[in-house]
Amino acid sequence: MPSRLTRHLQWTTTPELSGRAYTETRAMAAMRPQTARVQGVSTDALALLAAPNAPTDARPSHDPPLAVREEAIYLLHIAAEVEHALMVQYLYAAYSLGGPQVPPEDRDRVRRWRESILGIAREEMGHLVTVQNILLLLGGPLTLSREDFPVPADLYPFTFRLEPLTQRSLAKYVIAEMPDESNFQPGTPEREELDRIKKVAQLDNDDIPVDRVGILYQQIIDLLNAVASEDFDADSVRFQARPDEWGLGYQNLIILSASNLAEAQAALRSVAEQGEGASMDPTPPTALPVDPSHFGRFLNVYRQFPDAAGWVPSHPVPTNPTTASMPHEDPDMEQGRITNEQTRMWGQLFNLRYKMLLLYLLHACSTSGRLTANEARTPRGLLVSWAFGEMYNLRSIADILTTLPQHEDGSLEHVGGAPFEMPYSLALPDREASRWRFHRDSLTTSMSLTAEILKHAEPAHRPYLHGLQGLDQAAQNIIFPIIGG
Amino acid sequence: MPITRILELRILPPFAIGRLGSSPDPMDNYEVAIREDDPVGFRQILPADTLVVDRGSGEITGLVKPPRVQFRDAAGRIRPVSPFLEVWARFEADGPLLPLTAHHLADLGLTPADLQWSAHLGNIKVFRRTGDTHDKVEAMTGPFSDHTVRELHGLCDNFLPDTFLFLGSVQYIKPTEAFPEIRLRFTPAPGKVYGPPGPDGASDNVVPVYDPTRGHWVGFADPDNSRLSTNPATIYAGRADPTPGSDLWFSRGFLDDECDGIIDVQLTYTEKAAGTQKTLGAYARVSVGPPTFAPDSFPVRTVADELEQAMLGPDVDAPVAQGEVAEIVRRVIDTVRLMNTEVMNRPTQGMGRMDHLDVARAAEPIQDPSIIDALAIRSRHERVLLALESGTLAWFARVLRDYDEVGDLSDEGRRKMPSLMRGADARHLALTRRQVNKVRAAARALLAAEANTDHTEG
Amino acid sequence: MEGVDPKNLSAQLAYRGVGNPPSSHPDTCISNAFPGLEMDFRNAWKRIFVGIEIHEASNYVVKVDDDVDDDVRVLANGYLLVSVDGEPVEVSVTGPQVPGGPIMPLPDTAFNDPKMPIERSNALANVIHQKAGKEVRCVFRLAPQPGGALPANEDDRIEVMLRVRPFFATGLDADGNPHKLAVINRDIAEPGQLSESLCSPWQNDYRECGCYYWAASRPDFVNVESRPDGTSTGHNWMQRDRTPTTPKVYIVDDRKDPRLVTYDELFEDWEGKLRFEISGRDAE
Repeated sequence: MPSRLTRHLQWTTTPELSGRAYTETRAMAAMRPQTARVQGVSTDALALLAAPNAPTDARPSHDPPLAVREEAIYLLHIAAEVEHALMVQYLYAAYSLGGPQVPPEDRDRVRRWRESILGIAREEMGHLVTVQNILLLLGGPLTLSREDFPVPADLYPFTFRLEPLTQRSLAKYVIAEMPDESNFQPGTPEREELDRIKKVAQLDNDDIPVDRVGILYQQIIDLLNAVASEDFDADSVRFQARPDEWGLGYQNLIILSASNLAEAQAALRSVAEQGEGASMDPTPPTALPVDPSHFGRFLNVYRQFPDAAGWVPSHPVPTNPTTASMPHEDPDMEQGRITNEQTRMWGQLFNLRYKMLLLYLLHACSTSGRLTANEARTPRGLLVSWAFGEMYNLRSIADILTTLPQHEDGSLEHVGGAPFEMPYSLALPDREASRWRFHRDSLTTSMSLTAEILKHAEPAHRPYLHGLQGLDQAAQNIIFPIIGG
Repeated sequence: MPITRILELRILPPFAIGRLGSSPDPMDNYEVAIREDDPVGFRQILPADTLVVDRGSGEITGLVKPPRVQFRDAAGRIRPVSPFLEVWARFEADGPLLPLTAHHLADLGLTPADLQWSAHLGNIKVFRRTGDTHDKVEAMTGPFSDHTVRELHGLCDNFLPDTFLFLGSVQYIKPTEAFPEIRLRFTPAPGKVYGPPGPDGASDNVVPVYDPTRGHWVGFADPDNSRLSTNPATIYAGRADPTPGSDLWFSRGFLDDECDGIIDVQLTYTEKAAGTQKTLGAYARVSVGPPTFAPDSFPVRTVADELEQAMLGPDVDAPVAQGEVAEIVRRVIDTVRLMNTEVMNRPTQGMGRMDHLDVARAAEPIQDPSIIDALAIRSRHERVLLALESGTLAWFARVLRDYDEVGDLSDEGRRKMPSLMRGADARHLALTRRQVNKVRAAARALLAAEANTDHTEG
Repeated sequence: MEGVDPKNLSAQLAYRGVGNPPSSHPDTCISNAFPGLEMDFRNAWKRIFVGIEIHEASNYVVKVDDDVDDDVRVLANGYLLVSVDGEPVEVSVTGPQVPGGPIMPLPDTAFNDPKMPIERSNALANVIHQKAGKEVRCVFRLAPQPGGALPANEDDRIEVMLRVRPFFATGLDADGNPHKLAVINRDIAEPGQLSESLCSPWQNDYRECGCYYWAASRPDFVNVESRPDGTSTGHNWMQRDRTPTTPKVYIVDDRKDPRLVTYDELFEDWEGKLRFEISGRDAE
C-alpha cells in the first residue's frame, strides 16, 4: 500500500548506471512479506510492487514533477522522515544495550557504545530540526510525522525496524551513513571491509541493498539553486530553531538556521557530512567517541561488536514492540506485543510523551523566538524546555521498560521496549489557545495514566512517577492563564 | 561505666551561623524535607525537636516539637537563629567523640563550673575601609563559668563614651538531669543600625555611637581604583560626591551589628592516675548574617562546600551517591526559581552589565533571549532533576563551568552553568572543583548503570 | 547519643547540633562571596601563606610581616601572585568588544590588566589540601598601575618559597598526641576578619545586589505565575506593595524607583519590610 509520501515518489537514476537490475532486485525483495505492526493495518506486500523501487544511487523526485520550490519542500519532507526514522531506530538500539548478561569486563565498552549511539541519535534530531528550519525558510509546512507501519522500503535507506542492537543491524547503520564509495579504492582493505559489511547489511534488510542517506541532501542542495531568491523568507529566522536554544553544550550537535540560499545549502551540507564524514579511521576503540561522522562512529562500534556466537550486549527487548490490546494476526508483530499490563501502561506512557515531544517541537517552531532582549516575550522558551523534558522522559521511560517483563508471566527473559508508536495525528491546531488545550489534555491523560501505573509501580520508580505528576500539574497551572482558564 | 580521664575536647559544630533578628524568642529548629509526592517541587518545612531555654536559669526546660514553624514572633519580629555549641570529648585513646555531660565531669570529681568559656567577636568592617585600628569593634567576655546571659558589647576606641555595639549574647547552658550535656548558646544581635549622633542619622533607629571627632568613618570615601579597597568597593551607607565627574562615595558613618569570632572552652583538672594537671581546650567559630529569607531553598555553592574541598581536596575518589548530585541540581533549581532570569539576562542588568563595566565586554544578553524566561528556565532545570530521579543525568554535567574558564567571556563561555550568577572572583560563577568533579563522576556512573541494568537487582 | 569517629572530620563538619535549625549550618551560607552574606569567605585565604597577606579579592600583596626575609619583603612593593606550586591563580580574560566581534583580550577597566584573579578556594584547592605546613614555590609579578601600561618585562617576576599555613587547626590531646580538627585555624582569621569586607546588610548592596549572587538566600522574583502569553510574571522581592491582589508586574531594580523599598526604610524597619518566601510566595 503506497503511503502518504511514496504515493508521489519516483526514482530516477543517472544514465550511466544500470538501474534496471537494482530495480528488479528491490522489487523481488519487496515481495517478501513485510510486517505490519499497527492493529487493523494489513500488509499489502503486492501493493509495494507498484511503488517504484530505486537503485542505490537513484534520486527521488515527485511524480509528476512539481515547481522547483515545492519539489524542494517535498524532498525536505522525505529528508525529515528519514532523519526521524533513523533517530528513533538508533535510540531504540542504544536503549537496548546493557543487561546483566554483559560480562563485567565488557560493561564499560557497552556503556561507550550506548553513549556513542545516543550521541548519533541526538545528532539525527539536530538534522531533523535543521530540515524544519529550511522548510520554514522556504515557507513549507513543517513535518514531524513518520510513516507508520508498514513502512515503504523505498523511502528509507533500510526497512524501518525497532530492534536490539546486533552486528547485523549495525551493518545497516554503517552502510546507511557511509560516504560515497568512490572514497574507497577498490582492492584496499577498507573497501573490502565495507563490501563485507554491505553484504551483512543487505542480508539483514530482507536482502534489499541498504541506501545511503547522503544522496537525498545533495539533490536538495542542487535543487535550491533554482529556487527564486524571493522565495527564501529571511524573516523566518525568528521561528527557526537556533543552536543557542537547543545546543545544550553538545559539541557535535548541528542545528543550523538559515536566512538565504547559501546558508541553507551550507546547513544541508553540514548535515550530510555529519552522517558520512570521509574517514575510514575512526577513533581507537579505547577512546571516548569523538569521531565526528556517524559512519565512523558506527563503524567503530561494529568493529568491536561481538559476533553472533559471542556474548549478547543487549537486553532481551522485542523487535517492533507494540502496546496493542488485542493479538496481532501477523506472528512477527505478535512477538513484539507487550502483554504485561503494567509494562504496557509504561509503553503507553512512552507513546504519550513521544507525542508530547513532537507537538511541543512543532509548537515551538510555530512560535516566534526573540532575537534580542528587547523584543516581546513569547512562550517559545517554555515549549523548548518542555520538549527537552520529554526527551529526558523518553530516555527515562525507555530505560525503565527494559527492566520490566514483556509478558504476563512476569519473566524477564523477554522485557519491554520503547514502542515509539505514532499518534493518530500530529497536526497542530490553527489557533493558539487550541494548541495549549491540546497540551493540557495530554497532561491530563498522562496524569491519569501515571496514577494507574503508580498503583502497582515498583518502589524504585515511584519518585520518578510522582515527580512527573508534579511537573505535569505545574505545567497545567502555567497553561490555565493562557487558555483563559 | 564511669570515665577515668578526658583526652580531648572539641566543640561541635565547629562553625555555627547566627542570623539577625530582634525577637527575644530564638528560632525553633526545623527540617527542610523533599516531598515524597512532589520530589521536584519546593521542599517542605517541618517542625523539629527544639531545645527550650529558660534565659533566667540557663536551663533547658524541654525538647519540644512546635506545632508549626514560625519565622517571626507574635509581634512580627524576626526570630534570631541562635545556635548551640556542644562540647564533645574523647575518653579513651581509640574511643569515639561523645557529647560531654555533667555525669562525665562528676566521674572525675568535677562540676560544670570547672569549664571556662570565653567569647571574642569582632566587627572590623570600618577598620577594613579606613585602616584605622581605633575603628575596630571587638567584644570579649573574658573567662566565665556561670550560666547567666553574657552580653557581647562591641567596644571601639572611636566610639562615644559609654557606647557600644550590642553584638548579641552567649549563655553557658546549665546542665540538668534531663539535659546533662555541656553546651553554650550564641544569640546574635537584633540587626540594628549604628552611626554618628546628629542630623545624618537617617532615622531614630540609627543608634548614635560613632564619634566623628575621633575617627574618620563619617565622610570617608573609598579612593578611586585603589588596590587596597574592598571589591566591590563603596558598599557602605553613603552619599555621592556632588563634584561633577567624581565617583567618590562618602560614608554616612554607619555600622551594623554583625560579627564573626571565636568561642573557647577550657577545662583544667588533675588526672588522678597520673597525678598530673591537664588543661584541655577547644574552640569553634561563629559568624552572623541576615536571615535566610527563602528558608525552603538553599544556595548552590556554600561555605560547607568550601570547607569540604579544603578538607578533602578537589578530586573525588570514592563513588558519588546519586543523592548528592541530586542535591546540587535541586539547589540550582532553588536559585533559579527565585530569580527573574529574563531580567538578569538583559545586558543592562546582572552579569551582562558587570562584564561590560568591569572589562568592557560587548553588552549583550548572556543566554538566548528566547529561552530565558523564568518559567522556561525553571521548567528546564526541573526536568533535569526529574531525569535524575530515574537515573539519567542529562545535560547538566556537560555544561558546568570549570573554575579556570571564568575568563572566557565568549558567548559559549558565558552560557555555561551556573549561569547569570556572580562568583567570588567577580566573573561568572563556577562551582567548587569538588562539586564539579562529583557531578561528572556521578554522570559517568549513571551512564554505566543505565547501560548495565541488572535485573536481578531490580 | 552515638559517638563520632575523631578522625571523621567530614562528619564533624556536617554536624548541625541538637536543636539547631538548618540555617545555623555553613551549608546555608553562600560562598560565591562578592562579598557574601554571612561572611566573605575570600578572607579565609588572605593569610594562607605565612609571612604575607594577600588582598581578599585580588592577588595583590597587601603587606608582609615584619620578620620576613628580604626576598619576601620586596613583595610589599606592588606585586601580584601569579601561581603557586605550578598552579595559576590568574587567567586571561577574553571576549568580544562589540556584539559578534572577534574574541580578544579584555583588560579590566580599572588597571588595564588582561589577567584576572581566579578565586583561591578553587585555584589553590590542591595546595590547601596537600601542602599544609609545607613550602611551595610562589611566582609574583609587578602589578600594573591604574590606567597604566603593563610592565612587560618578564624579569619583573619574582619567585619565592612560602609556607602554606594549615587551614584547619591541629589539637594536642592529654597525652600530647596531635590530632586534626575540623575547625578553621586561629591564624587564618582573627575575630572579625572573616566578615570585614562585607557590606552592612541594611545599608548598602543588599538591597540592589540583585539575585545574581544568591537568590536562594536573598530572593529576587517571588509570587511567580504565568501570564496569558505563556511567560512569567511576579513581584520583585523589594517591591513595597505586594498584597495578593497587587497586579503582578516585576519592577526592575532602581534605587530611585519609589515602588521599591529604600535604604532609609530598611534602616527603620528591615524586619517589617523584608518578607519570608515559602514555596516562592510571600509567607506572611
